[in-house]
Amino acid sequence: MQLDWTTFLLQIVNFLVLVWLLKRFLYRPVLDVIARRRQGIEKALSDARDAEARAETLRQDYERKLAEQDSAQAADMARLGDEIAAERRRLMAKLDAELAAERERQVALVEKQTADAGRKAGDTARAAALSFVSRLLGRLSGAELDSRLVDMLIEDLATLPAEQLEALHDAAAAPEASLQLTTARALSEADESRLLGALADTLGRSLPITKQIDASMQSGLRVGIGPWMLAASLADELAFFRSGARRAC
Amino acid sequence: MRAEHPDPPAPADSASYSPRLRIVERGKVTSVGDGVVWIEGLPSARMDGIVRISDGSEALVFHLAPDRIGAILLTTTPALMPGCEARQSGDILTMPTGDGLLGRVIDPLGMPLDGGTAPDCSGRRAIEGDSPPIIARDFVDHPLYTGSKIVDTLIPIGRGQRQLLIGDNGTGKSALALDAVISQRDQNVRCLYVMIGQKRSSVVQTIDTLRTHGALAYTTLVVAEATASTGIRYLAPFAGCAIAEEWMNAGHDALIVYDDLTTHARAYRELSLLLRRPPGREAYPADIFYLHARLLERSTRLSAANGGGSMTALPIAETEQGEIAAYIPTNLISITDGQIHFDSKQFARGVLPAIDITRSVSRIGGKAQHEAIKREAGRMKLDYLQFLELEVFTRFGAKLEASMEARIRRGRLLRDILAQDRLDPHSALDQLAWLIACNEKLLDGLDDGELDTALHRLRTGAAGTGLTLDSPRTEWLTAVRGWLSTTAEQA
Repeated sequence: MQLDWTTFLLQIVNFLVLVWLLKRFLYRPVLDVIARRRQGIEKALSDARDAEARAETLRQDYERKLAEQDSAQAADMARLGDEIAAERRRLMAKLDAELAAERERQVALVEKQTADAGRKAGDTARAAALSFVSRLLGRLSGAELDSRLVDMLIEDLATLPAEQLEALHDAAAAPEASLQLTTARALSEADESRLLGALADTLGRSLPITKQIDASMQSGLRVGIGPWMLAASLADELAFFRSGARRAC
Repeated sequence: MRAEHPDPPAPADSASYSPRLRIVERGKVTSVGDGVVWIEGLPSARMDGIVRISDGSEALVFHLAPDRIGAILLTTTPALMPGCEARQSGDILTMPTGDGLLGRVIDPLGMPLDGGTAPDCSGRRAIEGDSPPIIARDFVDHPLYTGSKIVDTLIPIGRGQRQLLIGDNGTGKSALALDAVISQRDQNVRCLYVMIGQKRSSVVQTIDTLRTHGALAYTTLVVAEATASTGIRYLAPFAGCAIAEEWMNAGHDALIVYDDLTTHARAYRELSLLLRRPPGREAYPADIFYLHARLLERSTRLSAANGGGSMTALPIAETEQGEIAAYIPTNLISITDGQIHFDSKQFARGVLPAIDITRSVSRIGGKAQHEAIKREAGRMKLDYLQFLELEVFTRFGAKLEASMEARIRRGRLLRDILAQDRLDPHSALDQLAWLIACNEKLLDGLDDGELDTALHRLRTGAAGTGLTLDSPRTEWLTAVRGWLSTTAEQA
């Protein structure tokens, strides 16, 4: 190959054309592609940064909400705890009140049962005592005891209160008044005489007399005058005990 | 002049005792008749004291006059005649008390009428006693279920309450009282049924009914038949009250039925006329109010410090032609804590039980009603009363708005639900089941046959359920839906 200046110039021109062509059709598109890729990478990077920022925001938001939730849950738990404690206190108070009432009720019932049992025991004891006394006096009763009871009647007749004496006097003053004498057994003449004398002195007059024997009296006598009856007998005294015993219960 | 009897010194005061001449009063029987005896003398006799007569008879002093006393004959002998001697015993009339009386039929003096031996009793109690003081009482806050749908839901009764059953003859008052007694099975309530002046056939029927339903085991019947003397009829409610009072004081719950106090008032009037007491308002002895108030005031609920027992009273009063403004009914209405009124017109129309809800009221029962039933019953009574008013318009064929027609339909449904056969008490669980079903409108649109089946299913379901009145409503609702769905499937 011949080297001259023309060729050299042409080669230079050729080279320049080639360079232009390369630049025009190859280099520029490649640069464009590179620029676009760079832009794409930058955009992707920007998007990623945005996403990261959003994710961070969301994470922070989530953590905040989580914290709030935890806080609310804790508050709810505390409130629930308070409510449970209050309800428990209420139920315990109610239970305590019920138990106290039940205890009080049981105490009252036990006291009542004890009192009832005491009363019944007292009743039984009194009934037994009356039975013993009745049997004992029934064995001991006789004419001598009758005579002593007549003595007691005469003695007490003289010491009766004025009000009672006046009432007996009024009863004896009735025109149809009479004495009804009931004895456990026939009185001796001496005892009957003493008795009638004392009655006449007390009543201010002698009254017609009717006599009756009632062995159930065990010993002693009863004297009926109008609406009143003077009783000095074992049966009446025991009845007096029995009546008083019932009243004491 | 003061005699020795009836107030001798108590032997407890033994130091003051001395044997001495006793001066006692001696009375003389002047006349005998109609269960009453007149006695001359005994100027220191006191009311309700017992007088012993020489023939062995006993009488209760009931009337004091300046020159003589009138007494109710408690026991008599053929030898009783004018001229017999009478003396004060110093005793007062008492009744045997205790659980030995359960299942027994006795007269107002405690003598057995059922052919058995004398009741084995733990004690005796005066038939006339003071009512508990206010400080010994507690609030009525425990329900007493009568087994009646209407009563238990709309007119509830509490333990310790006094609820009057009032209405014309043959309207179902005694049936409701028997329902109430039968309903107390397994409720730890001791029952007393006092029958005053009733025919023997009624007495036998009542005993049979209680026995058939297994209620005699926890019930005592105090019977003063129509043929009993006036005095015995008069004493019957007091005798029953003394027995129930003893149970109450022993910490138990007791239910007492006085069947009926109108007859008792008549007996008292008869007695008063026999004893020549002056009549009061409407020719009744004026103190009948005091008498019944004294009787019913003894029913209450005691505080825990006094044992916590209760005595619920169901006095029955009969009206004539539905007239509740008569003397005895108004007395009893004012004494009691409420009344259940039975209407003869409803009875004639076949609306059973013939309870007139508009006139019935329970003043303190609401406090005792269980919360669940109270919540479900809610405005039911008011709604039902409004329905009864609205229903009047339908008689004229008036065209009503849709809402009113719906209310009328619902009222009619409620009336059908509340219908109940005689001697067919329902449990509290059954009451709650139908209340929930009704409030949830689960029974709406059912025809008569379907409704009966549904109610039967509810009753069967409630009887076999493990739920209690305290169970949550959601559980109840699920159960009720389940029972009713079974009904729907079967239909």
